[in-house]
Amino acid sequence: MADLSTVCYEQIEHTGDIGIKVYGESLQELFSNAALGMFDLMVDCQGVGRNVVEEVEVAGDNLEELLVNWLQELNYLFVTEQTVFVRVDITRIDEEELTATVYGDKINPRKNEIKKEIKAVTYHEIDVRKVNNKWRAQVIFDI
Amino acid sequence: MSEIKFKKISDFVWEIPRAGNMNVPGRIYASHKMLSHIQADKAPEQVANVATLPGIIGFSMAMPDMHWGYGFSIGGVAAFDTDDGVISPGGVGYDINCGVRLLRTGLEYDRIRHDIQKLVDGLFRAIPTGVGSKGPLRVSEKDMAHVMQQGARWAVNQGMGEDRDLEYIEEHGEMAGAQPELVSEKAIIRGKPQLGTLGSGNHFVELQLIDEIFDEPAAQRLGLKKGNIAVTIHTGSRGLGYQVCDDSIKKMLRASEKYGIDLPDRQLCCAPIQSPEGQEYFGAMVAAINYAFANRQVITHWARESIMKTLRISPRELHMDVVYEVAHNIAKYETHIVDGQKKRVCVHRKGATRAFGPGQPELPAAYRDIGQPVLIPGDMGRASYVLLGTDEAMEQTFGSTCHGAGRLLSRNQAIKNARGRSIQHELAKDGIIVRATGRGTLAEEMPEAYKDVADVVDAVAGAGISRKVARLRPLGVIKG
Repeated sequence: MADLSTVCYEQIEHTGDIGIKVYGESLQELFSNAALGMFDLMVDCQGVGRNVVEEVEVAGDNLEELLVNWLQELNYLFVTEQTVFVRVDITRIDEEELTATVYGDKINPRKNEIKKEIKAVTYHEIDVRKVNNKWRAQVIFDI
Repeated sequence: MSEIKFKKISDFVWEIPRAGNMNVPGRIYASHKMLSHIQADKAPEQVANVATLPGIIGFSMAMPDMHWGYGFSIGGVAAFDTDDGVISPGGVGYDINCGVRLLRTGLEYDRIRHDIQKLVDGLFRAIPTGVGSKGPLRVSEKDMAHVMQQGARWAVNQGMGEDRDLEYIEEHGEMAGAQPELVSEKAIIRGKPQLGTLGSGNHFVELQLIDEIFDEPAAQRLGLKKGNIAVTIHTGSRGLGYQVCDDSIKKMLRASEKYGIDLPDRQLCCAPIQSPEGQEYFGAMVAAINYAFANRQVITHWARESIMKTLRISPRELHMDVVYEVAHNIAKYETHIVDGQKKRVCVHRKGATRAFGPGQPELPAAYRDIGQPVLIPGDMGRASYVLLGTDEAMEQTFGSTCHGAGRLLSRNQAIKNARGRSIQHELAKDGIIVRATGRGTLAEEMPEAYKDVADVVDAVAGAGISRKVARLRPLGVIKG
């Protein structure tokens, strides 16, 4: 289980757009960090509780597609339900499927500033790989 | 730094010679002074990548406001053979039919110069802005199907605007070929609450002063009078368009593999225009195009109501008519002269504007002999321009030109540069009143984050693909 208070990610600069680079000891950790990094980029999550719980299931043909679909699904929940997630529990993950329980809150934009609107999660320079026994991923968002 | 070398064709046109898998050469429209910046970016490589796609005709082109984009560069123009060419969501972009509408008014600057703050406050209240903003409109699923089919006409039928408005919109605000049934439920759920909203980023509604006329007879024909107030609206298809693009990219990645199309970049994924996948993307894209037309029509209605209320004037006194509306993220079938023959092609314009020359049947009757108005918004501190399309554009660029200033700084760099400054106060000192929803928006969108739009416009005018008519100076801006 991963929590926003401990997430670690790097921002990637891109004219007009922004991406993130994340790491993980396992695929679970990698995908959790990517999700939490994305929300941290979008919204000031201070004080966000865990009152909303959602089950998320996504599939993809490979790890890169799985990552894009996972982040797109979470962004879709953010846009349509105004909910941000600050805790992620990935219960099952392989190269093609992911099941997770995510915890967060509906946000009040007056309290929690929305910093960026992510129009889409893109395939540009997407990369998921294992380097020296550690997972690494990068993904760029269309802002 | 781009490895790509340019060959000079003229003072404003540079060629990327055919190499590797390129089917045609690339052509970049820019002045000499803009080239070093263009070469520092990966956009020229993207122009070369687009040239490798099957069925591309003539040149893979980019306009002077070009910069890096997903798959195609921003500022990219490419036409494809309708028999053996492809269609690509990356050639249109995520914000399908992002576009610009210009309205003139009967108001003189001297009359409202002390009311700008009130007018901006009124617009800010009337038009929802900001990330994921929701509008006061309540539309049903059934309404959404009509919106995606009828575009701006749907809004006019609801009492938001007049029939006259429709005459002055590209495609009359209602593009044929929409297949709303191909738009995913997710896209409809995202788009439904956002109809009639501006969104965030570079979208805006701006009150402007017509401050310089370059071509008096043409300006008269467009009803643009020096010293009068104009209103520009810049927004697109909101979450609906983003989702249509997303959904399509997934399908197109598979289609590219299925049809054996070699992709230098995954975001260039595409399908033959005539394939089921190509036709499905076209039908869903047109539905999103029509949604964007409806969106700008609804916002126009609220802008009119708001200004009348603030100034306590009648529609007759306001006299706020559409000058024209252009799309700058779009793919469409058009007939052009190719090798001396009329040919139907599929033109992709991504961050590029249609700029049809005189005599084209698609133009409103009132403008048919002067050419199509082209609307080029600048950043919020400098000017916007009104241009006209030309015969040269028809010959050289499939009737296309630039779309705006183009970004210079990344968003984070802009925020860094703005640290410790109040962009709102700096603009106010220049007489520009700005209101934005997001705290970061003004920093990210500050004037120095953009290229000078005057350079962009001078380059397209120098190349002959557009001619200058008027300049508009910002007075008040609302942003997301």
